Amino acid sequence: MARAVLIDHQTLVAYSGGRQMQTLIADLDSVLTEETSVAVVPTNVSRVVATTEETLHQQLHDKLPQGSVYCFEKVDAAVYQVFSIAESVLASLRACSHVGAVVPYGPLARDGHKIAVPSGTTRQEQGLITRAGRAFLGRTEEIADVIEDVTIIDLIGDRRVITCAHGFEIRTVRALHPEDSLEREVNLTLQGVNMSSSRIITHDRAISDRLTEAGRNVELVRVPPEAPSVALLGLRKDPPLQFHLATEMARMRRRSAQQRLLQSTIGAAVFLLVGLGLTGVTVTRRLMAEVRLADLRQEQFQTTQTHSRLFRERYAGMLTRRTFNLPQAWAELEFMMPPQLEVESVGVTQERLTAMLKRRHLDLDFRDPPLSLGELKEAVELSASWQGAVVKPIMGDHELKYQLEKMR
Amino acid sequence: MNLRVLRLTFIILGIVAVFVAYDQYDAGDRVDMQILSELPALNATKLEMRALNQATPKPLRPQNEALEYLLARLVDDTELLGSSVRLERSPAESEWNTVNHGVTKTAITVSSPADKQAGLGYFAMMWELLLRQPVSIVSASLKVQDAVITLSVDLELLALEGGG
Repeated sequence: MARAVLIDHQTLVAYSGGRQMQTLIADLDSVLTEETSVAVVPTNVSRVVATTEETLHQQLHDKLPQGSVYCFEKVDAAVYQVFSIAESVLASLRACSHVGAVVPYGPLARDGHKIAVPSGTTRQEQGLITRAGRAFLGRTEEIADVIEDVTIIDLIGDRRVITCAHGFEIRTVRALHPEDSLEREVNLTLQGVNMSSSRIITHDRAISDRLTEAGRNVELVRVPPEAPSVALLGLRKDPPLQFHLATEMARMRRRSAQQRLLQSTIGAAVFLLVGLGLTGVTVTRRLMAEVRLADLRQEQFQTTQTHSRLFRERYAGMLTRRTFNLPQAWAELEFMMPPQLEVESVGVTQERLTAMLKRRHLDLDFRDPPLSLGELKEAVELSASWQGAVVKPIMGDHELKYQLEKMR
Repeated sequence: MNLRVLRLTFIILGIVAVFVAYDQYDAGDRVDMQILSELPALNATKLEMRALNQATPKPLRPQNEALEYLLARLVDDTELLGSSVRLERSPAESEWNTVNHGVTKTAITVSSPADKQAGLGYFAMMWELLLRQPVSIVSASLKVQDAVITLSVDLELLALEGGG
């Protein structure tokens, strides 16, 4: 990509293939052979307070002279920095088919000085910090150095261009006449923008020497051959800040509107697809649930029929399975209890099993052998039906009975 | 212009699709709720069927024949064993209660005396005979009085609903 600088409303300095050419706008077609980005020095810089870009456009429409084109960048929350040139200048540049982006000079110089390598250091000394890295660091340092004053003096052809930047803000851009006194003009310029103690940066050793002799502290930077000035170093391919003709702006707006319409249509199509997808998923889910419900009801119907048949056939059998065997419980008591006792009654209900034991009366007249409650309990534990039963002695009027009770 | 129409169409169709999706989601939820409410009943039925399958089949008789048949069987069989069975409490017609699936039941009480010496064998046999019948034993008691033992059993007799 070739680079060029429009010094005044007529003169252009172009750099292409390592060569420097000075020409008039009218002769551009014969000089340029490849697409060239042009940095414009004679620009008007103003700052406008606006909350939105729409209000900014409205203000500029009233403020700028008729037949101006402009571009702008945001410098603060509601402050814009506007660069404007005469539409006729841009139109005459656009008349050349090789002219690509037309950009204001000031922001290029501001951005370029952050990329430039200080003179006296080599690439190796720069270590791993590449130009891209420096550019990145420059962008990140931008916030920290927002109020730093920098003056960049470029030598474009035989003209010296002074750019004063206060942080992000471009205070002035001046192209000096070759016969102007550099020291005097620098002093006047810095005083004019109230930046007397500004850092001064240049890529030209002669300028640096002259200003150093004049008592100025100057930082000398190196620039590559393809971009032989600090400002051109900041000129990248497809810069964000460009001047456009009204017709170009209209075309861009139209294209942008079409693009927005296309994007919103795609968004709507995606919305429709998502909606259809959701519908598909929910319909499938409902159908599957209905199939499951139908299967369940079919199974329920079949099961109910079988269940009814089985119920009529086997319900009585199922109840019998849970029935306790009372004669067996009685027999166990008869055989397992100590001989001093006999069974008076045995009963079974849904909840419990009970038995009543009493002392056996014998016809022979001899004393009954003694019987302890412990013996009785041991005998109860040996009986399968009565294991775990509670043994309670019951004192009657004339006799002692024992009650066994077990929960089923 | 065409794109605008297309966009509007997409948006409208999208809204309709989302609405249908919500409707279907809601309908699916309702079906799921039905499944969830009907499933426990089916599982309970299956559980009961498993228990029924393990039980011995005891075919039921119609309601009007069931009591007569049970008493005839018990009287005949116990006579063979040397004793007799007596019906202590007889159900009136209205006392038949519905159980489920066309099965009905009524409460009766039967008793049988026996000699103390032979009682154990007799009652064991009688109990077995009783359990072969379509009955559910609610409660039972054995009382020994002097040389006589009396077995008294409260039963629920099961039968098929109706007159057969």
